[in-house]
Amino acid sequence: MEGVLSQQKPAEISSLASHEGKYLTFVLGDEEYGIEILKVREIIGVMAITPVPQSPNYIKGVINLRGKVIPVVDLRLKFGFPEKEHTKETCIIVVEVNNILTGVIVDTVSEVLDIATEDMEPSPHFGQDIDTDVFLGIAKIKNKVKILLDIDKVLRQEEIGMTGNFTEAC
Amino acid sequence: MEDTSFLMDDPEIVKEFLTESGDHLEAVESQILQLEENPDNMDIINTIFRPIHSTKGSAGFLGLKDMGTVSHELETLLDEARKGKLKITPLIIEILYEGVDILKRLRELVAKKVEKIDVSGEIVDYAPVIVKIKNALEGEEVTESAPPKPQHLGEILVEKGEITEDDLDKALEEQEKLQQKKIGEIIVEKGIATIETIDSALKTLPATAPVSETVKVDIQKIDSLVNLVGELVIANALIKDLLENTNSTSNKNISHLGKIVKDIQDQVMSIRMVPIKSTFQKMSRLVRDVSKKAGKKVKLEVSGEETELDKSVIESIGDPLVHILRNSVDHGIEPEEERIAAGKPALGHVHLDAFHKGGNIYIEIRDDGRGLRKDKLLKKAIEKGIVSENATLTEQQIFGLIFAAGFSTAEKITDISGRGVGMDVVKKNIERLRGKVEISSEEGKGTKISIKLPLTMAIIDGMIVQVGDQKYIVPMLSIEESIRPKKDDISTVQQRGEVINVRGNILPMVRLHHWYNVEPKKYDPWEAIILIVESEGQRCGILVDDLIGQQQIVIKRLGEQFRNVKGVSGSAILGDGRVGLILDVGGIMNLALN
Repeated sequence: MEGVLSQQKPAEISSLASHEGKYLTFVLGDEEYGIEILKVREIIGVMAITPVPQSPNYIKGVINLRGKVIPVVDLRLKFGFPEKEHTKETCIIVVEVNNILTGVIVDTVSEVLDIATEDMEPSPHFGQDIDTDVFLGIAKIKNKVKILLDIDKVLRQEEIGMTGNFTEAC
Repeated sequence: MEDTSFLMDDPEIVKEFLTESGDHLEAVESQILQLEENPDNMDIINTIFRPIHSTKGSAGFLGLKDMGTVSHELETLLDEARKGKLKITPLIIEILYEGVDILKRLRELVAKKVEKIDVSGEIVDYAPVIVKIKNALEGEEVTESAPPKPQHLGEILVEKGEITEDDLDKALEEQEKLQQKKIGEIIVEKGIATIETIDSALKTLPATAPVSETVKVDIQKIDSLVNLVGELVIANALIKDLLENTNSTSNKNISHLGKIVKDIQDQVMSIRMVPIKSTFQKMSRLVRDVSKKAGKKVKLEVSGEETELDKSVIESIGDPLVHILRNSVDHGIEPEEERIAAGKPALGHVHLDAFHKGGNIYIEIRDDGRGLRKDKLLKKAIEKGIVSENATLTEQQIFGLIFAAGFSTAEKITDISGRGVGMDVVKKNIERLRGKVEISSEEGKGTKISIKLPLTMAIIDGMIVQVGDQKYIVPMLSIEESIRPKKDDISTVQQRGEVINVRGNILPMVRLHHWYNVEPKKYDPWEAIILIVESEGQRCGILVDDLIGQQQIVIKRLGEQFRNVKGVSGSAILGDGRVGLILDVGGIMNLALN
């Protein structure tokens, strides 16, 4: 991890610059995350979820979004947090990735933040335990750290995980 | 090969040309078939001439020289026929077919080029057909052309000798005065001829098909409209449930709204419906070609062409029909000598029919050929190891063998059929359309294959079942019956597998909760319900907690993420607004039993 912060390569800085913009931030456990606002379609409360057999535990199932059937991913389980009973605060953030809508369950939604390049830093590496590929970077706003997610990659991995799980189930 | 790189300058125009010329060529093909039967009918020649002419025009405009040349030559040929200078002989019909085929292939080449598919290896050689046209035009002696068929009722009556020219003139004068009256009516009123003679004269008039105006709409727009209407129906049902116990005024309004919604649904569904006519016309051509190749005389009779089916069903029904008809002509219909020896007319008959019955659409293919030989089928199946030697099969099951992959009873393989592939495609395709195939056959008399299809792919009749706190939908089509078994009817096999005895038939039992990983409310089958289901000839019992009711549901696909999930074919929004999964009965059986 050492050295990464001080020796930013120019390529990394420019790639960070392209991530500048508005983020929807939300809470997961006691951590704060952000998703690019342009990917967010809407935020809804938790509703009845129909489980789908043979899918990994973090795919909670499918919901009826005004007539559309969309899958719902529990981000807690996806990131290896312990499962938590849904409360009034629990939200489903509906994101659109490659024209596909997916619901993402989070503990609670906080606010929309304008994040500039100077607030951003590339994600540090944590060895094998944490897959930093799914992070766009880390932002420091008022001394709080917000982890910016590359939601495309978070959800794409979920599909691969799905196939793996399925072969086991067979 | 002509240079067509310029096509890409404006692909939109080219695409429009492609759809248009596709329609034209299809129309021409079916008209040639008509012309073959009525070679003297000028109207038909005209209806062939027009689309060829416009294809020539558009091709020329786009700089498609090959298509332009071929359609130009065809046009010349038809023009001669139109002027009565050329008699339509079987040879001319053959040339017309060949020309249209070449145009079709040239059109496909253009289509591929627009899609940027490499076509450098494909060359359509149209020189021979041009030569044939030229020969036909030069070789023909100027035959005395038959006088064009009379077009008016009065002329026909005069020609038949029913009335005289004088009578006709008088009647026409009368008609001048009374504008709305038809000439036939006047003649009958004046007592010149009877209604019967008029009727028979009218029948000889060439039928003019009513022309309805059409609009081309992107199919996706219709699909989303269909989806939305499905939602509207469900939302309406939800409100109705909610207001059921409130005051009567709102109830009255709601039921009025319900009627309107139902009407909208019917109308929207009908947008997707297209008559099966064009598919049937292709079949006429197929039977003509196949019977010629097989050296048999076969007549295809078609009825119910106006029956409307969902567009997606029409698209996937073509292939199965092709295979069935090929088989009928090649294997079903006997050679001429054999037919005469059996005391049948030399001309073989195949009948293709489509009709509505009880919320479903049926397509029937009947032939008066040699029929299926049960003993032969069974012997072959045992030989091939499809059926074990001591198995007892019902008649339907034996006939069903012809759908098994790799199964063919034909002694020799012709280039038309007999390889044993094809009929298995039939069954698969039709099951994919949520339809069923049934065969009945009598040896020496013929075979009837009946295909039962749902009205639309988007809506199915489903049985809602409860397992634990989840609701699932089982397509009604696959349910044979639902039973609550007695304790004695259930036995286990090696402590693991379970079987159920249904009136002497032992069927495997599948516990849905086990495969779907839900906690059931009822573990013991004799307290729960067993659905006896059938798929691809296999039967089994599926254990569920309870039946909730039957409902029409709008099918929604589960997303890409779930494409590997076995045993679920889709989902639907249930009456309570929740999503219910639709059981894929075949998939469950594969998962649990194989």
